Parts: sequence; structure tokens; C-alpha cells
Amino acid sequence: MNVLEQNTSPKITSLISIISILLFLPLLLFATYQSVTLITRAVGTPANIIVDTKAVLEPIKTDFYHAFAQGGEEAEDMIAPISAEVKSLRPKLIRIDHIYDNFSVVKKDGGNLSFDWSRLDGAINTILATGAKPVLALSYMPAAIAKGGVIINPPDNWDDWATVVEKTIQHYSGKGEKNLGGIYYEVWNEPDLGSFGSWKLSGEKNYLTLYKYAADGAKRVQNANYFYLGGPATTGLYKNWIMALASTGARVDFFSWHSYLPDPKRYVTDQENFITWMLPYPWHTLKPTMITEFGFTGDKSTLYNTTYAAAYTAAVIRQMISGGASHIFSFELKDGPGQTNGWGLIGHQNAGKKIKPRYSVYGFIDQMVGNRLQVTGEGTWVTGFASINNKTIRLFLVNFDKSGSHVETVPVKFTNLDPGTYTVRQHFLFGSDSKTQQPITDGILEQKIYMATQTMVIIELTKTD
Amino acid sequence: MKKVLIILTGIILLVSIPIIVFFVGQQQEIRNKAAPATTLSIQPDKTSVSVGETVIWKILINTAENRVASAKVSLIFDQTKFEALSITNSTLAPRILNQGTLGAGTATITVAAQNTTNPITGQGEIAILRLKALNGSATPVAVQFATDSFVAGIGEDNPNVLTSTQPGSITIVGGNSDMAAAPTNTTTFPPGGVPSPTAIPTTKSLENLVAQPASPSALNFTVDAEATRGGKPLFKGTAPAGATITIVIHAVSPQTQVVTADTTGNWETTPAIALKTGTYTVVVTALHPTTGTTETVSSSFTISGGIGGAEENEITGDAIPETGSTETTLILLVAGCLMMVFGSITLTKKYI
Repeated sequence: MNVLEQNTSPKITSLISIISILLFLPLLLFATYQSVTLITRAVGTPANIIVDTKAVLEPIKTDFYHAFAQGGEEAEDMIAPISAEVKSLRPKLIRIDHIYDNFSVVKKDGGNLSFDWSRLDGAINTILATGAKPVLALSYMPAAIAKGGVIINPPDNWDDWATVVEKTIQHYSGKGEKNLGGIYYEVWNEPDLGSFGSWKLSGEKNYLTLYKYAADGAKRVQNANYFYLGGPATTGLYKNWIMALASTGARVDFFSWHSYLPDPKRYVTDQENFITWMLPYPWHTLKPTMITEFGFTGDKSTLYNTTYAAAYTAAVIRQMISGGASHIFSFELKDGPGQTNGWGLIGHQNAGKKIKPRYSVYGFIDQMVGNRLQVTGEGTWVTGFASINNKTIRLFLVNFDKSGSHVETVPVKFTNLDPGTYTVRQHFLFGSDSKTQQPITDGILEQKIYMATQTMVIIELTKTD
Repeated sequence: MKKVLIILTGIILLVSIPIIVFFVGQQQEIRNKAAPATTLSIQPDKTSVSVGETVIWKILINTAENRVASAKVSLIFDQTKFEALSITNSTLAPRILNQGTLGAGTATITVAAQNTTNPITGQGEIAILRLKALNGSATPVAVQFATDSFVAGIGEDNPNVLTSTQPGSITIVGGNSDMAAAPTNTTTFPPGGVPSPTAIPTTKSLENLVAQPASPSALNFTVDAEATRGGKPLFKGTAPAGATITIVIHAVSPQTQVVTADTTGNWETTPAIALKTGTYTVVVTALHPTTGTTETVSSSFTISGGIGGAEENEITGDAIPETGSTETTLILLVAGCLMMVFGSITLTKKYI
């Protein structure tokens, strides 16, 4: 019998025991959960990077990730207030949706359709001024022709929809009008999502019907520059949607989908799946694949304001650097008004147009232009690729942990270097930027790089003699 | 007379034009709908390689009359002999549709033409594979195409125009060449498994694989599927010395293994993943190290006694779940804690 039991009544002892157990249990649960999380997070392979500087692979493309999407939170030209910031991103393609409803393009008087392009032209001109080409998501159904005036409904008359698409393409791609070449027209936006109509592959709200009439409209366009018509712009890569569209017989110039996937490596799986599905349709394998929105979550998240989003984007670009989609569109350029957890690369102008970390990734990775070099030893969290350009060798590494806490010291070895003295620059995005001189006699340079969580670094080797 | 000549010339022209158009059309049709006739082959850049060195393999295509849009190149090799370093596209296939994927004993890439108006035609290089030699071998070691290799032809009734594949081989010198003396045992899970049965003319057709060949064969094997082996039967046999042996166990998800016969022609292996109780067919293909010819035999065996029982999905090679057991652990913990609480309450009631 201990001191407590000797000096207190059995009832009090029992009561204290029960209270202790009740207090202890949540703590035990919490500690156990943390332990399980840590143990499971630790399952993975650390990186051990080896760059063979003489094993030169294919040229690296940097255009494909200079594509951006802007949502339609405001019924106006949302890019205009941030056009300078957008131009600095050197965008190649900018996608917008809500083109009919936000810009009041279509009217119907009696049986006749009329079109007022003035407001949409303004938004397109803004895009063109940034150096990008517009990608127009043909959305949503103009209220003037939609059943019940609801913009996510089918039209009362499908021919009206075909006419709307025809006039849109004629206006922007027609040689007698805006005369723009190589414009992408994407039929709808996320048709499978409830917010955008919950379209199916059959029934009254059949996406294939929507697409077919859009293709009919495109067919009627006269004297136009080459343009691309495609879809289905679904919320993910869905085999039934892709295969249904591929086998419709309608004109399909590109395939598109959205990817909100927490694991960057899933982008490779998606691309592999798409090509595997298309191999029996050889001509389709050569068509552009467009991930017209991507991110780690489709929900708003404060993580979009942090280096988490930057590292994620870099990790996705690494996965797509060879054999990836033709274009991947970061969603989105600018937060909507009042959003503190929006998807934007740039805050809304009312909140000071704050530049978020993700904004800096594209220019940083652009330094990697050149021919890809053979890299082995990527890990679960630290991935990367290397390039050679005008005898300058660069290695890009990103440490992305979707759980958000992994750190790693990465052994890095460059092999088959020509003997001589090299300037070795180690440049962390949002971090240190240092240079050292390293004599190389045996063709090998070894370093250990500490990668804090959600960090990106470029190691650059330039021979000085 | 002059009029007659003019009329005759006119008639000849009128008759010959449709005939020419007809025959040109016929030829055009023949060109547009050529029979599948594309071949893939692989060649090393040298005849032998030292352990630790890299060998560069050219993946070559000959499209014959076909017009090729894209090609999935899927390669398998003995992972104890080679480590895959990289695979990329080459001159005749300017685009990469799927990035190179490297595994233990496997390398895959999908390459393509620039567009449909400039398809891949003729002969040339479509991809380059770099392998590092790991262990010596007394006989050449092969790299071969898996059955999921696919060449997509434009305008064909059968989109896969690949008719045959030709493996390549190289001798690895130096290092621990004892590896060649002892049977090697490796496991790979390539998506397509065994090399195409139409790989080269000497390969037997798939229909002939069901039974052992009637003629005397250099390739023989036995299966020891005793229950005491725990669902991992022993495959053991003989083949030409140095032959690359590919063993495919046909299950829901086939398991493929590649081993090299030793200098006396012996080889053996077991599946890395235990098989469930049931009857299986195993197909064994031997690739001769010097002639490049292949021989295939097959057999059936039964796993019984319930000692096997590996889950089917184990052999799909799924990644280790990163957070897989959290929920189960928590449920068990909560259940345990609740039992503690109820136990304590019961004790309290008893003694208070």
C-alpha cells in the first residue's frame, strides 16, 4: 500500500485513478497517432543523386509549364490589374472560362442571335499583351439560349449552341477578324462537376452532344487560321470520358483534363494511362494533351500561399519534364476578391497584389534549359533533373513532402567531368546563393546538399579554364 | 488519215487515263493499308563490356511499308547483370510520349513521330538505352523486348503493326564472373512479361507452348511445388550455357523472372511472391546467347495445402502505402482504451 492509499479513502483513490486514466487516454491516443504518422512518413527512399555529365539525353522543353488558368470569380477582365506581373511570368498560354456569361456576349432577339464581343475582346487583348495566346473554354451556355436561362443547362436549340461556337471561332481565328493563329478552344469546363452542370455521357445533359454541336459549329468557320478544338476538360483524367470523346468521330484536336492530385508522381501515371488507352488510335497519340488546371488540391487552401505550393509545382514540372503533357496550366493567376486562401499566384489587387512563392518557380526552373543529362538516384521526396547548356551543367533538386515536414541531406555526385577548375554555384530558391571554386582532377565532384522541407535548389557547374 | 490518227490517239488517251488512275489508286490503297510488317531490334555499341562500365544500346525500327505514329518500347534483362541508367528517344522518333521508366530488369519508353503528316518510316534509331554492367558472364547476356511492346501504325486495320522483335546480347567481362557459373535468380515484374512469341522466326508459336516439344530439346525444366515450399515452387532446369531464361508464371497478374543459365547450362529460380493455392501454367523461354534463337516450353503445376496464400494484389507491385495502417491502429487503440475504462469502472464499483 503506497502513501496515497494510506492517507486517502479508497473512494478518493479510485476517483483519482479514473480521472488520471481519462486524462491520460487522449494524450496516449495523440502520442500514438503522432508516432504512427511519423513511422509511416518515414517509409520511403532517400535520394542519392548521380549525374553523368557525358550521358546527354533529349532537349528540355520549358514552354509547357508557362501556361496559366484564370477562374471567373469576377465578371470582368481579371488579368488587367495584374498584367505587368503576369507578363513577367512569360506566359505562353492563358486559359479563361466563363467567356459567355461573364462578358455578356450573346443576345437573342426574337429568333436571331446577336454577338457583342467588346468586353471579351478587352480580356483577350490583355492576354495577348502579356505575350500569351488565349485558350478559351467555351463556357458556359449563354443565358439567352440556355434552357430556363440557366447557364449550366443545355440550350433550347442545339443549333444555337453550334452557332455560338462558330461565331466565337470565326471572331478570334477568322482572318478577316481578330486573325489569331493557333488558338485552343476547349469545349466547356469541368462538365462532370455539379457546379458546371454535372454533364454525363448520355441522357439529356450529354457532353458528347454538347461537343458534337460545338464541332459542327467549328466546321462552319470560313477563312480562318488554324485552330484547335478539344475537351473534355473534366475534373480528372477519366477513361470513359476520354475514350468516348476519342471515338465520337467528331473533330478532336487535343485532349484536356484537370489534375488536382497531392502526389506529383501521379501525373506520370496519368500520362502513361492516356497513351496506353490511345495506342489503338494511333493518330490520337500525336495530339496535344493539356492539363488545363492543376494543383495539389481543388479546394481553396492557405498552403497555396506558401512554399508548399511552390515545391509541389516544381515537383510536378520535374515529373513532366520528359514525356509529359503538352501544356500544364497552373490554376490560377489571381485570387478572387476577399480570398485569403485562394489558388492565386498573385493576391487580388484589393489585397495588395501579393506575390506568392509559387510565382517564382517558373523562372527559376527556366535556368535548366538545355539538353537533359542522365540522373540516377532520385528518392521518394527529393527528385530532380539535370541539364547541360553551353558547357554549363546544372542540377535541379526539389524536396517536396506532401505531409510537409521531411528534410534530407542529399549526396550528389557529378561524374565524367572534364578535368579543370569549376565554379560551383549553389542557389536555393528563397534561400542562399553561394559560389565556390573546385579543382577537378578525377572527373568527379561530390557534395552533400541539405534540403529543408519544401525547398528547391540549382547546383551549377561552370568550367573556368 | 490525220483525222483517224487524232481519233485513235484520243481513244487511247481516254482508255488509258482511267486504267492508269485505277492502277495508281490500287497502289495507293496498297500503300495506305500495308500489312503489319514493322520490326524492332536492339544492338549494343560494343561486343563486350567490363563490369562497372556503361553499354549503350540502340533500339532500331524497320517500318517496311508501315507508317508509324508511336512506339512503346518495353525491354527486359537480367537485373543481376545490368542496372538501367536511362532510356531516351532518338533521331527517328523526335517526341517522347511517356518518359523513360526504369525498374529492376526493365526499361520502358513510348516515343513518337512529330505529327501524322511526318510519321516514322524506314529504318533507324528510335530510342537509346544505357545499362551499367554489374557482374561478369562467361556467355553473352541478352536484352529483349517484352510482349507489351507496341508499334502504332497509321491507317491500318490492326493498329499494332509490330510483327517481330530481335533481342541483342553482349558479353560482360571482369568482375565476379562466378555469377555466371552459379544459376542467377532474379525477379522482375514487367508489364508485358515474356518476349513476344513472334520475336524471331525460330520462336515457336503461342499455340505450341501448351505442351513440351516432341523433339529433343536443349531446354528442360521441372517444378517442385511441394507444400513445404510455402507457395514458392522451385523451377529448375537445363538450357544452353549462358542462355537467358525468362520464366512467366501465368496468374491474375503474371510474375516474370529472368535468370541466366550457368556455364554448365543449369538454372533455377523461385517466385519472389508466394503463389496462392491453385493451378498455374508456367512458360519458360530460353534465348541462346550467341545465335539469338529462342526455345519455349511450358508446364502446369498446382500449389496445394494452403501454405501458399499470398494475396493476389501483392504481385501487382503496388507501392508501400504511406499511411496505410493508421486507421486500423487507431481503432485497435480506441477499443483497448475503452476496455481499460470499462474495466476500471467495473473495479471501482466493486471496491467502492
